[in-house]
Amino acid sequence: MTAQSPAAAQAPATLLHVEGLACHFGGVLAVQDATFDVRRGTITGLIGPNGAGKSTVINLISGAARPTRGSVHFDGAEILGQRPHEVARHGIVRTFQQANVFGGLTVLENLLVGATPWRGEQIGAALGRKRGWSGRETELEAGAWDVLRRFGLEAIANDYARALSGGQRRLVELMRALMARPKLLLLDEPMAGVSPSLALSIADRLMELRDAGMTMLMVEHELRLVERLCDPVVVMARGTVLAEGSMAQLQSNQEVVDAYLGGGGGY
Amino acid sequence: MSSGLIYYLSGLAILLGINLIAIWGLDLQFGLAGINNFAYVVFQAAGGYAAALFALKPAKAYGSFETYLGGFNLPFPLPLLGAALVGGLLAVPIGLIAMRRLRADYQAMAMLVLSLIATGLAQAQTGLVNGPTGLALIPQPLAGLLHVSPLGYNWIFLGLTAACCVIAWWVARGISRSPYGRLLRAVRDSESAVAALGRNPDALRMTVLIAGGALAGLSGGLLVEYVTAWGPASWLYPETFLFFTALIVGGKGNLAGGALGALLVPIGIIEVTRHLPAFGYPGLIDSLDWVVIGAFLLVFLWFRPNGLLPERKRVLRPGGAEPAGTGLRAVLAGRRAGSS
Repeated sequence: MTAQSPAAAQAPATLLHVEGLACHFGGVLAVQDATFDVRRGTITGLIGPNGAGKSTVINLISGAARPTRGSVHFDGAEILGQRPHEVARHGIVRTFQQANVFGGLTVLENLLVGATPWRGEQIGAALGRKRGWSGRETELEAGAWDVLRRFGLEAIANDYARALSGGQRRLVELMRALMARPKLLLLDEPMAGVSPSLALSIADRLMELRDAGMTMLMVEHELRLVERLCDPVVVMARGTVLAEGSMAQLQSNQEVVDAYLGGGGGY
Repeated sequence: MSSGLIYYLSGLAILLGINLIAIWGLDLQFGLAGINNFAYVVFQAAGGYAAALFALKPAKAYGSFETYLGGFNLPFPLPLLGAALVGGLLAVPIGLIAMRRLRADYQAMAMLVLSLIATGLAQAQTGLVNGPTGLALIPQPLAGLLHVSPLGYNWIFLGLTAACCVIAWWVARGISRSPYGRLLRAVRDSESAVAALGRNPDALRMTVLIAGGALAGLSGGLLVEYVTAWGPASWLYPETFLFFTALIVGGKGNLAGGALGALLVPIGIIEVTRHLPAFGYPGLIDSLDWVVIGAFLLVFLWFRPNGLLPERKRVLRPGGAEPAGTGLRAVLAGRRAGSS
């Protein structure tokens, strides 16, 4: 999942290119003319004050919201305006602002649903012989146990997801996304509502994934974590991109300081 | 035991089987996929009507005392297969109208409205299903070939119903235990998360609407071929809630729960009230059926929303599946473990 193939090493550095993205909700301008890139193998941060349009950008990229105009090129293909399941099939998997798990499924089943779509999930396979899908199912189960072990969460494998704490749900959502072996992981406030220790644990996992070559675009308000994890960072305000760079560069950008970081750069 | 009682009990067993097929079909749609199909009885009625049209001769053969479309006089088992096919195909327009672009609660309202429209249409268009009078003289399967007593034919029909139950069980069990069934349960919990993982929730819901609709159609076909009549007044929207009540009482997402619900609600309650001594004004006992069914539904929704036999947890261990058991065993195991 995480090792870079020779083909990936030769691929263009930019995995996602967002150009002139705009979205209106009735008369409300949520995003206007947003332009930025996400380079392969980075965690690109997306920060800004409430109402800046960060989550709307995630929703537009993932197909959950309808754009007014603009373009989103992903790995050589225009994906803007496609439906969420079509976007996901390009290799873009997202997490949600509110942890969005399948409460009536166990943690392990949540992970199994995360695997890339396969023939055994079709109704024809369900009405055929179990032998037709059980082999692949066993492989997926082994993969899911492997992910659970890496996160140290084997103990909750057979718990219903609805019985988990908010932090555990975040982890389940992240593990489920990893089962899909995404090319790009969209993280919408992955630390929101999570205890400080668990947030650090999630941050460690994200760094491991980045070091192994995974690309992520992350909306986050906790700026210490953004500084630790993300480079570059895109700052949004009032629906548009204000600046882009490392956190050190942004702290010396007066416009960014005025709009979001606040006086003195202490967060 | 008198032959009259045996005849009655065999008829009851046939009705139980027919209800079982219908309830398992609804369980696929509502129990697994979370579709509030308040038009479910329309699928059953359409299957029944299709079976009638496929089995009946053209209206002229009966002196045109009733009017209907077609009359194909097809041999067994084609009317039943046609019933299942029509029930399944009906899911496509209903699904396109009621499920696209609508949230789950509005889907339920749209389904209910479709059910009311279907009833109104059937009763108003006399050329379609002979109006409110409905259809009669529907031939029973193999009735012309078998020269047996009414009780003997009941046993044969019970065998046919049991065979259809086995088919329905095989379909429902195959779906509920498969990765496809797991996806349906995921759609029930979060459509947006399923879509974000690369699956089309609309397509998933449509496929299970077709599968459940086919089972509803089959049950309708069996019922019509057993009672040899079809009338729009027998397929009104409260019948849908009878099936929902059976599923909620027995336990949705669990085939054994559906079977228990079929036994307790459409058979148990109706038969118990049927044998109450007459009291009050005429029709009071029939009305009490619905009072008891409604009270049952409310009590279970308040105090035991997962039913008597809840959906079982799929427990897996490293290195292979290890199910916790089914039905009652799973409930008892869950209690012992103190788990949900």
